[in-house]
Amino acid sequence: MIKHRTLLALLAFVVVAGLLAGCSKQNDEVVTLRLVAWGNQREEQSMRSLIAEFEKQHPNIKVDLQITPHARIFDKLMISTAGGRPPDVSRVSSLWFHPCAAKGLFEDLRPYASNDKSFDLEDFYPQAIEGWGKYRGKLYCLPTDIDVYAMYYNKELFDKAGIPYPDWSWDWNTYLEAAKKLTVTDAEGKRIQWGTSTDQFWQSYVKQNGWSVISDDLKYCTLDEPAAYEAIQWLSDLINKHHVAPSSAETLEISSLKLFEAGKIGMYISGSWAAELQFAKDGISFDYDVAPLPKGKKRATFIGGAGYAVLRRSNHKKEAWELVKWLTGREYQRRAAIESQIIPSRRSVAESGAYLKLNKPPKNRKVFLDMIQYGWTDPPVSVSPEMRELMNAEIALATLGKKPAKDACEKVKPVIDQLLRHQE
Amino acid sequence: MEGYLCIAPWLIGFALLTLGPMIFSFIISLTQWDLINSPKFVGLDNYRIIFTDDFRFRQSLKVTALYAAMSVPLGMIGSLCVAMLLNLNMRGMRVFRSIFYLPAILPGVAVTMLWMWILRPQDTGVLNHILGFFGVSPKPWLSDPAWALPSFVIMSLWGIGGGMIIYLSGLQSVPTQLYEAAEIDGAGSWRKFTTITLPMISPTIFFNLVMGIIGSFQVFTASYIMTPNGGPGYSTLFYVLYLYQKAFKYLQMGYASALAWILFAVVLALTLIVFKTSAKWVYYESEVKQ
Amino acid sequence: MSIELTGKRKRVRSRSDAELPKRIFAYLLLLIGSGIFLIPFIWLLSTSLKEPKSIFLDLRWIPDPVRWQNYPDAFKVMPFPLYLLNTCKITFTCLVLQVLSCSIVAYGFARKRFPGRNVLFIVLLSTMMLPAQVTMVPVFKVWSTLGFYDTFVPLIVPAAFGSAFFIFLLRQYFMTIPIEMDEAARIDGANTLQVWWKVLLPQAKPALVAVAIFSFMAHWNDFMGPLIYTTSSGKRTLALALWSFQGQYSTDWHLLMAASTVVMLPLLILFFAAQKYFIQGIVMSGVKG
Repeated sequence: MIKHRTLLALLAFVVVAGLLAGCSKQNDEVVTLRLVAWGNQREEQSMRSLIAEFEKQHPNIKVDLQITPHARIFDKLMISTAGGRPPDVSRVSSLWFHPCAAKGLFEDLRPYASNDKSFDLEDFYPQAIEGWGKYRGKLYCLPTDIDVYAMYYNKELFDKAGIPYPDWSWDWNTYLEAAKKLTVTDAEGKRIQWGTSTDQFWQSYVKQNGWSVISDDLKYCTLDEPAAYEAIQWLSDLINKHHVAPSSAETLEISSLKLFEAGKIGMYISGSWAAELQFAKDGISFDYDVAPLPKGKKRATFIGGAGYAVLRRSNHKKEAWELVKWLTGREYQRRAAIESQIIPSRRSVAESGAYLKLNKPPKNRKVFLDMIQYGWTDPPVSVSPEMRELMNAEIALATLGKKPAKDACEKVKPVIDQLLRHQE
Repeated sequence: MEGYLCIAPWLIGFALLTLGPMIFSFIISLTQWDLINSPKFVGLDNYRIIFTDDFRFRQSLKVTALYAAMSVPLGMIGSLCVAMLLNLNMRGMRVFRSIFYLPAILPGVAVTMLWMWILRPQDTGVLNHILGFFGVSPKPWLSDPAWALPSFVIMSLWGIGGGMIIYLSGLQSVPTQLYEAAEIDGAGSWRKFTTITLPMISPTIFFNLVMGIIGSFQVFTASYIMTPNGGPGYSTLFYVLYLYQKAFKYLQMGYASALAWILFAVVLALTLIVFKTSAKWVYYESEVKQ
Repeated sequence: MSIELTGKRKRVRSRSDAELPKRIFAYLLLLIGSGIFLIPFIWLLSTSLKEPKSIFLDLRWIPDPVRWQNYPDAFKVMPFPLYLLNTCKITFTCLVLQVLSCSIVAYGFARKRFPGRNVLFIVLLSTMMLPAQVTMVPVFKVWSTLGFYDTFVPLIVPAAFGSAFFIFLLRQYFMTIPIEMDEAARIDGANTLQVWWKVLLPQAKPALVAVAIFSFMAHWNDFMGPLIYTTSSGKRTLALALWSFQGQYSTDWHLLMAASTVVMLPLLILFFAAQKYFIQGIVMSGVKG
């Protein structure tokens, strides 16, 4: 009996103490925001120093930055929201913005934006806002940077082959001809240098051919049309017929990126991030620059990027908005552009000296900004990552040369139709 | 009464963590639910879509069945062969036994990562390097639809130690008199193996078969780490990987629950089939004594 | 249940009929086989000691120079002590809970008579057939509704309710202990709990150790549990940390292999320290029942 009484007293004490602790916390008013983001070590450093500045300006807010690999933040947001403990703010990728928005993970930022006089939405590139900011009319995410795909080229290889450097006049044919000239085989017939690589999203070729992967009403897949599969076949032919791009068997180990860095690829198609995150890091020894993607029937390139969103289940949305504003603000973007060569999502910063006048290669970096207007982004469907995975899996068979593009497209079409039909 | 008290921990756990969730799970499988917004009752729609209109369900079932069809027999034969050798009772068997058994107890994450490194394609992967020594051309392993699943099978064969130990104990419980009697009758090694060893260890084979089937239908860690999206051309989209994706990546909990029930039905059916046929080939000592 | 894997009885037979060429052939096969089985280990160690620069092209088995620095480097990129502590917290709490709960339940099934015992035992056995995925979603929902998402509670508490497989194993073992021992204790005035604690547990030590080892292994190696139930980086277990590490530094194979070695190490040590019990445990699990 006595034991019970002691236990009860103890319990009461713990409860009271807990309540008191809870109260005292409220009085302090220091809010800790959990921020999830991805980034390499360098980006992390720069992020941390910028966040420290934010904390200095907002003494009542602390930021707990959790660096998570890019590919895993999507899963993490989904599962932690279902589990009831999502972060307050998350860096969001254009690759999986739509499903998160569709599930209602994010807070609509429009009211915050319109009530905040210091904030100007018009400064952002509309392509970015439309691509991974808005979903069904609501503003769920503020873009912070833009990745643009363009063509890096090795000037030395061009000079050696005696070909003029690529420019806005190039189309698929000029590109293929140049690629052929840049491909070198050794005495045994083994290729030791390739004209180009095929790292960009295959969808870009479809877009360049004036077509799209799903219908405008977002209800069915349009890959079974000639304009789609001919473009993919053209891509496959670069590797498997003309052999001007390394096949997956030839690149897998070293990856075409490493081949380009080793001076074995003439034209390397990749994102704007490659210059800083890869070439500079790995130390590239030759002179290179960047050119627009050659046009097919149309000019098109993939643009994607990242942004920041406030989680709807956050308990500190007001503070979270302040953080998002800071993370997408001018000062932050200017510093990020200088330190990491990131293309800012704000036009005022992008077109200022901060990005364009960086004293680093590639010299012709204005190409990236000029390509933005030709950018395509993921279609705004809630199943976009699943759709991309399903399509990539099948199209990969075509680019591996395992089957004609037409067959792959015809096989994948009903699968995508199914998926779009059963969207939740 | 005391008996109930003793088993109370399990009984409570069973009610709260198994029976209750089972019922709950079945109800969820009749809804569309992401655990965030409120659920929507859809009847048997999830099951209907799975059976009639889901390419990945069919693919994942095919992948898993193929994997089971390759890894279970190979693993069983491999572990039995090693066990037979280890049963020869010569010097140094303890060392050999440890070497064969060790991989089976190591953390799946670490083992998987080690194999990702070993299975690098082209000539920088050590497996290709070794195969090259024997004149075999390098294989693309995980990056090629045709080779990805066999890669998993090869990795699974490294872990045959568990089954091997069970065989070993089975082999050692075979009475020596039987072999001696057979030798007097002039039986050769092969005859002794088929007429004595196999029937005598058939209960062990049966056990390993059932465990092997159940295990191969629940592969997750390796597939999630090596090919989180299901591999090239969905060639390694294991069933539980797909289920996990639906549940915790796309938050389609109703759909995932329906997938789980189908998995249960498949595993149950396979086990029952094995049990049914076991009467024909599994030999229990006690039956003879009667 | 014969656990002695090298019986003298056998030795006589094999000496008499295994001729020399046969034995040499068997040795040869075993040597080749174990060589193949050892290769991954050797490659693991070798990679973990290599220079990062030439990691993809350096296919030598013995690294030159040997770079021990990889191990401290691997710890620098992940807070190893914290993850080790997390893993130990979960593993050892589960181990104690599981051994206690399983043994008391097994005791009930082995020694007590109560209506419905056999039916319940069959129910227990059949839960082993149930894929965990069936209950995964509802259990997740329950834990998160209770506010235990991103804590160790969902990873630990289930251990207090026992595990069908271990209960089965221990029950089989308890059945082999003569009931006269219980009765003698009863005459000395022991109650049920005392019989369990003082008579059966000491007698069943080998089986308990085996269960403890398997419980340790299962929780040390568990991946899906922490993957689903934890989200903050401070709550990672070693297995999960290793996986996260791989996502972030996928090209630093020398560090990855060093970290893998460290995660494997405790199990290797445990195995060599308690080899007998490991093998015993797995033998017990395979016993026809």
